[in-house]
This record gives sequence, structure tokens and C-alpha cells, in this order.
Amino acid sequence: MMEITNFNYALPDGRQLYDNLSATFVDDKVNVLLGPNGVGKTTLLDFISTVNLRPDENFLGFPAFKQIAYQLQGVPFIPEATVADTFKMVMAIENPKNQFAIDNLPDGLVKVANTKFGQLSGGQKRLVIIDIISQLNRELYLFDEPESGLDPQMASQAIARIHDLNQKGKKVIMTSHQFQNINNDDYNLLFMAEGKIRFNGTPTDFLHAKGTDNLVDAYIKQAGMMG
Amino acid sequence: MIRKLYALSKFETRIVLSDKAIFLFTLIFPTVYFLFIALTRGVNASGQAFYSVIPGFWTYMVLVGVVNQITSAIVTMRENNFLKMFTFIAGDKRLIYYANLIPQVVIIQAEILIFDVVAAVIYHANPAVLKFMAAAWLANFIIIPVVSFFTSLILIIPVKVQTMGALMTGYIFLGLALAYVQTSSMTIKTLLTAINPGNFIINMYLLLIPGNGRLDNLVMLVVVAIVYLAVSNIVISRMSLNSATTRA
Repeated sequence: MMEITNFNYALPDGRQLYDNLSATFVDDKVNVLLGPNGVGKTTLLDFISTVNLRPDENFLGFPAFKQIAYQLQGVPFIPEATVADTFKMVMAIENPKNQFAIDNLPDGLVKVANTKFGQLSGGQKRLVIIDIISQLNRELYLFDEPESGLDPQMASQAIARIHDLNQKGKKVIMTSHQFQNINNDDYNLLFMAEGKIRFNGTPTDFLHAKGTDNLVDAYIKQAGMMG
Repeated sequence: MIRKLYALSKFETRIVLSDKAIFLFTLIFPTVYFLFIALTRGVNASGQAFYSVIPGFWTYMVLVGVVNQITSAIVTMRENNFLKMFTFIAGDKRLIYYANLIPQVVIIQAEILIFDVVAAVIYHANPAVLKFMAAAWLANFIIIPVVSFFTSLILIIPVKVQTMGALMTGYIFLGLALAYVQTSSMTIKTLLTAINPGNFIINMYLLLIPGNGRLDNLVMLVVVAIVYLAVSNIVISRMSLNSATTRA
């Protein structure tokens, strides 16, 4: 189990982003950070990933930098590189014995194997990056809005891949604004607002707590309570 | 570590070679300028003339190559969040730096080799000059990384991509302008070499001119190189992965 305890952080402009924030991340579920825009979900991933200095006294049980894979919210990759070249490089880094073949690419990416990254659509770029991150052998995987800009089919594919990682025993934390693929209790929801985690539990518990059978309604009710 | 570096360097080389514009500043411009000067003003085909003119062109090629293709490239990668992304894939930000450096050493050396062939033909280079050229070319395998370490200090400044061009142009201009400042004072010479990569490069080349090798100069250059190697290793391992202008 990974835990954040009593974490305080103010932005350079003085705004208090986290106010004694405490959170529990479950190893055998996909942990989903929810909350309104600007609440500090990405910054929290930056602390967890050690991109921002991670205070040991507040962050307990998180793996070291080398055991973390992090999909950034944007889609940063070398525009001149083809999808195949990029996968080949990543697989060679992971294991020199990996013999890359275009057929190894996930469904949907074979037809763009020889396309340069810069020529892909926003959704395709994101899917490629999620697949690249999934190729890495790490203890903890961070995904920052993995479904953003993806059509429903692609979003479902992306979440299936992330869910798969967790089923294989990997720890996963993601941020999200979408709920259509969170359809069972394999997920641990953490609703963040005003510097704290306001809800931490399964989707069933969240629905029950908000007295609804729809996660979007539950989210709006939770956000409304804060607003 | 070596395996990762090999995979990243191979990837980087393919990307770099796909952009032919890199040869414009570091090969085409100096070669055309050299030919223009040689053909319009004539050439004094003596060893001394070669020793006083050609190291300046090499200094330009190394400095511009390193600043444009290594240091600026890393800043741009940081600002585009490529650096963050690649570091999480490779597991160590130093690997990204070295994977960028290795292909550039090869490319700059290839450009200097082509330039040297042109210069040797124009100067009707004698065996002593050819020997000097070969020695300088081999020395570049040390000079280019050291100059790259010099300029890596820029990486600790939260410089924005928008201001990068102006900053680098000024840096190169100042570096080249100061490069030929020669003094008999060892203190001033050491100071200039310590603060300006242009002086470091030119002093290395001057050391290789037949009859010009001085032990005190060699020791000074080796000490400066070692200091930069040590300092840059700290700078590179501690440089921020976060863009100075945008969020991830």
C-alpha cells in the first residue's frame, strides 16, 4: 500500500494547493484521482514520480524513480520518429533480447507503424504513448488523463491496457475526468478538492455515499458540495 | 547502462540525420565563407598561415555544433517535455544527455573532416600541416565533449525556448570574439579558458602546432577539462525535468 500523510504544499504564487492532504493508494486496484481542473492532480503525480522533490516523511511506500513509469498529460514525443522506431528503441532499452517486429504492435497501431509521430492524430499519439509506457517493466505506473482526446473506442482500449497492467500485479495511479470505463470495483477512487482527498473508496461506495447509481451524478454532487 | 545508451544513441542518430538543415550552420556556412575568402583574397600557402587561420574555423564549427545541436536541443527537449518523457523511459536523465552527445560528436567530426579536405586542397597542405590536422581532428574527440560539458551549465538556468536563440547567438559571438585573445599572463589565460569554451578550444589546437607544445598550458587545459567534467556531471544529474514555461 502507498500512502500520503499530512502533506502540505503551496504554489510559487502562494496558493495553498495541498492542506494536510492524506491519501491511501491500493496496490491491487487501479487508483483514480478525480477532481475539478486545477485542483492539483498532475502536481501530485509530479511529487509521486519524484519530478518534484518527494518528502519521505509524507510519502510512504512509493517506489524509487527508476521503478516508476509516467505518462504525461501532453503527448510529448519526437515528431520525426516513426511509431515503429520509437517502439523498437523502447523495447531495446528494456531488454536487448527483445526482437521487435511490426506485428508486435498493439491492434490499431500496425497500420501507422511507419508513420512519423508528428503525423499522427492527437488520439493516436496518446494511444502510442500509453502503449509505450505499458511496455516498460516498472513497479508503479502513473497515467495523467490517459483518455483525454480519445474517442470512446480508443478510450476503452487505453483503460483496458491500464487495467491489464494492474491485473498483472503492477501498481497504477491515474487521473481522469471520464467515467464510462470505470464500471466495477477494480478501481479505487480518490476525489480531490480544496487541498484534501474528500472521498477515498470504490465506485460502489462512492455511488452509495452520494445516493445515486450514476458516477457522473455522484461526481457532480461531490463537486457541488465543495463549490 | 551501456545497452540503454546504445539504444538511445541509435534512435537519436536516426532522428538527427533526418534533418539535413543541421549541416547548414556547421558545415556549409564556414566552408563557403572559407572558400569565398580564399578565392577573393588569395591564400598564403604556408604552414604558419594555415595555423593562424584554420583553428578559428574549427573553433566555430565545434562551438556552434555543440551549442545548437546539444545544449539548445536539451533545453528544447525540456521545454517540450520530451526530456521528462524520455527520462522516465530511460531511467536516468544523464543517459538522454549522452545519447544526444554521442551522435553529435560523430556528426561534427564528419563535418570537420569534409572541411579539412577542402582546406588541405586550398592550402596545398604539406605533411607537417596534414599531421597537425590529423592531431587536431583526433583531439576533437576530447574537445567536443568537454565543450559540451562547458555549455551544460546553461541547463541550470530556466531559459525559455523563445529567448534561447538570442541567448545562444550572444554566447557564440562572445565565445568566438574572446577565443583569440592571447596573453602572456597564465592567470588571465586560465581565467579566460575557464569561462570561455572558445578559448579552451583554440588553446587546445594551438598546443598541437609543431613547436608550440608547453607543459604548463597542457596542465591548465587538463585541469579545466576535469573541473568541467565533474561540475557538468552534477549539473546534468540535477537539471530540472520540468519546463520553465509550461506544465506537463
